[in-house]
Amino acid sequence: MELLVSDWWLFDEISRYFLPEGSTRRWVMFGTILLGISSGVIGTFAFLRKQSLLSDAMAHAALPGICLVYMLTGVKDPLLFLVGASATGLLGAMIVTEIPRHTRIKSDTAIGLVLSIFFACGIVLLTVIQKNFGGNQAGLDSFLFGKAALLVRYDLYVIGITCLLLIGITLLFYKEFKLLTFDRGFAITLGLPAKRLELLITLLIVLAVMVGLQAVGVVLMVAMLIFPAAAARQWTDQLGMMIVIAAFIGAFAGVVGSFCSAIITKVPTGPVMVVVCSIMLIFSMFFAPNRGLIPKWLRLHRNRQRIRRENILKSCYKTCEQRGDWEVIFSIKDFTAYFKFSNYTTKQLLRYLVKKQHIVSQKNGWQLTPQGLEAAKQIIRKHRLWEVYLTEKMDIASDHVHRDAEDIEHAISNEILKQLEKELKSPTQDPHGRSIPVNGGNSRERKTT
Amino acid sequence: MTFIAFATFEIWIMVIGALVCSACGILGCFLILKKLALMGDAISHAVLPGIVVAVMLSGSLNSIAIFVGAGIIGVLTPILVDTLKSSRLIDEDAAIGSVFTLLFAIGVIMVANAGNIDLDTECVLYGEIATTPFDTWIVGGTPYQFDGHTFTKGGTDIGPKAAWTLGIVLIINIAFIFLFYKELKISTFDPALAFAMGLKPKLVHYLLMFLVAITTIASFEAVGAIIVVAMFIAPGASAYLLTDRLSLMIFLSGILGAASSVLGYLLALALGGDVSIAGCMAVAAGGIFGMCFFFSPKYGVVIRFIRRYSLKKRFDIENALIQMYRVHETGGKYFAANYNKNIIAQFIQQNILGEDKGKLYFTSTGIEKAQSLMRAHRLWETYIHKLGLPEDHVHQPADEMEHYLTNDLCVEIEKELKNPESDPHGKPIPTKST
Repeated sequence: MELLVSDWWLFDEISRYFLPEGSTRRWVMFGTILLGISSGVIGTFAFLRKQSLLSDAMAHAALPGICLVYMLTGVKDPLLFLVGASATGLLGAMIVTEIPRHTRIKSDTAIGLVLSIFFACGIVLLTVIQKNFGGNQAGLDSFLFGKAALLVRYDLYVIGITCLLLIGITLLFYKEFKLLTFDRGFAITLGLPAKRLELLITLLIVLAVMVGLQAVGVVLMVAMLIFPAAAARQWTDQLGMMIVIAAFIGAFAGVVGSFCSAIITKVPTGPVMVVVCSIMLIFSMFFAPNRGLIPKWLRLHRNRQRIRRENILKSCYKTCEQRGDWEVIFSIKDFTAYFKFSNYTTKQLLRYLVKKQHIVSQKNGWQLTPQGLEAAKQIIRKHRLWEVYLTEKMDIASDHVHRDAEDIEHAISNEILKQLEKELKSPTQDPHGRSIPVNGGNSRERKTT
Repeated sequence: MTFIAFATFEIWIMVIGALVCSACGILGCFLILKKLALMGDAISHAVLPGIVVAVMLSGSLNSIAIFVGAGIIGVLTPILVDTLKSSRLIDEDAAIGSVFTLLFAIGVIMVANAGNIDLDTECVLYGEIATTPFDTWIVGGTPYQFDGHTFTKGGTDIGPKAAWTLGIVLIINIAFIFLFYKELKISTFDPALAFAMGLKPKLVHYLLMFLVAITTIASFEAVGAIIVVAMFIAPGASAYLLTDRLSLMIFLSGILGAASSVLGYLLALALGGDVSIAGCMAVAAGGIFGMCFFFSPKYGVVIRFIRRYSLKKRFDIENALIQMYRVHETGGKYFAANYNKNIIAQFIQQNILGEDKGKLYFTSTGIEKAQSLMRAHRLWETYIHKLGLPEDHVHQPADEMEHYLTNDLCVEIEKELKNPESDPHGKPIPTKST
């Protein structure tokens, strides 16, 4: 890698896109952006229909088609290549769907078979071409790795028009594709020609793969179908939004890929696009707000901390209740011994409780505040009411209800609490004979203080 | 008659091809049965960065470092896929697709930038099986330096290096299957049982993946990274269509692999000898699979079609017989010949029907045959009527069941129903004529 190192090199490189001599760069970037968008859009359907690896088989199956077209016509026309590649690609896809229907061979084996054997056919044909057509096979096998930087304007016209066609057809059949993807049975009952529409989707995937072959190569085109869609899936549950995000990610990868390969020698465009996309997928998997791993973990952690705090308040209440003294001062040892939390966690929990004024810090420990007492009562109430509910309404023995109540006390909302009270006609005692505390200062417990 | 004489190197090519196909094929059986065929594909693509790093570090293509690098990737790929899958954020196929394409992309970038290392991308992708016989292993020679390279003088030539490597890998694979046969078998067909029996299916799984990667590496010099997928899958898939026994399937896949190597070389010779031999071997493996797909005596498309056709034919004949018997039942010995001419001719030939002045009548054998069918039909009607189906709903199922009920079953049903005289429609049930 040789970077042209000057203070302004990045700015210089960008500005070259706007100068007259940067027209090749502009075209390449334009092509890769379109490619990214179309593979994002089509990839969404492939991803949701679990056909991601079918596209792998199609991409490999394209090689014999391209070779055959070259052997028949003797010219290297990207449009003809597209036709030939799509023909064998579609044939491969059909074989993949037919083999599992007629034998006990599963579809993954069928995909592997079609992929490798079609590709082997292509390689044999390539060597035949090499021998019989004067070894002029350059540009034929470039489609293995892709040569985005060497695309000429005519290639880009073909790519551009096909991509626009793909996007247009997808928009046109958006409703049908959506229905077919999520509820095939319902689509059939509505009278949609499911078989023909599925064939159309397969054809679109084939076209999307074939268009990308020359730019990014066989394997990496598959990646371009999978990554943007998989990344977009993490951010939304809506198909329309997912398509838009996938298209955006694909386009961004196109920009970065073509830019990197333009400014750094020896860096091919396709792999960079794939690496960019994969980074976006990893980022999405970690940080996407709903499905992301880190938000999920944070939610889990927050919930766990809340449950721990509630347990601390509860244990305080129980101790006070036992001793009949509502101003017991607890030392940190009481908590660590009881809950087996680490010192650090306990202190963190207690600090939070102090901040919420549920407990106050005293000279030799902590003490429940009136507010804390109310909160603790609320939890105890949930616990004991649930125990009553289980014994009275569900006929569960009273010595079996504690564990269940221990879990559910953290999940019962105040509305459900009211419902429970109504259902059970506000009982005053739980199955073990302990009193169920009532909120507010006029309860028995408050009087004892 | 022409006699094909092969030169030594040609025989070596076929031997090396056969070693590749067999070593891959016997492992491929488990990939197919465990629905991991695409994991094999993924590993064969994903080893690229492993190879490049190993070549960068060790500086040569023929080193143990490559096997180490590939082995690491071979275990890493399934682990990554499993991790992605278990995060439940993306499905398995997308997980496989994203892991191997990313690793492959990294490999391609590395290859593009590693200009100083001797790594031919075409070789990695297509393989150079035609040159492998000339890279021989010489023992006992004295090494000398010439032009910066090490050459060997003297010594004995003990055959191509590729043959030795692949032979060793094949032996390792066979040994693995022998040693872990029970574990492999149970964890393939019933992973839960394997886990419950304490057979460590996870360990066996990753060991399998490790061997897949090792075999891929041993093979890629000969056949390339993509064609090796055909060698993994095609022989096993063909064998899967031929037998139901695991041991036989493994054995057959080895044989079929060797066969596709020889056939592939012959195909390459037929195409002029100057074409990709590895490609031809994969095409031959595909051809063998195609033959099995169509002509397998057990699961072939043709035999299934024939079976279905002959079943349909039997139904047609039996239906016609029952129809005629119904006419016969209404009285009248003779009935008009308004049936399919072929069927009637067949019946007359089989002495089921007799013909008398253009009118047809049942012979005694014909009546016997028709009665046994009718018996099955009406017994079934009675039986499912007893099970609670209304009498106007029993005809349709009986119409289908009559073709399947054997005499033994009819006797059982009769016993169960205590020898009924008539069916729910009041028609008599013919008794078994003895």
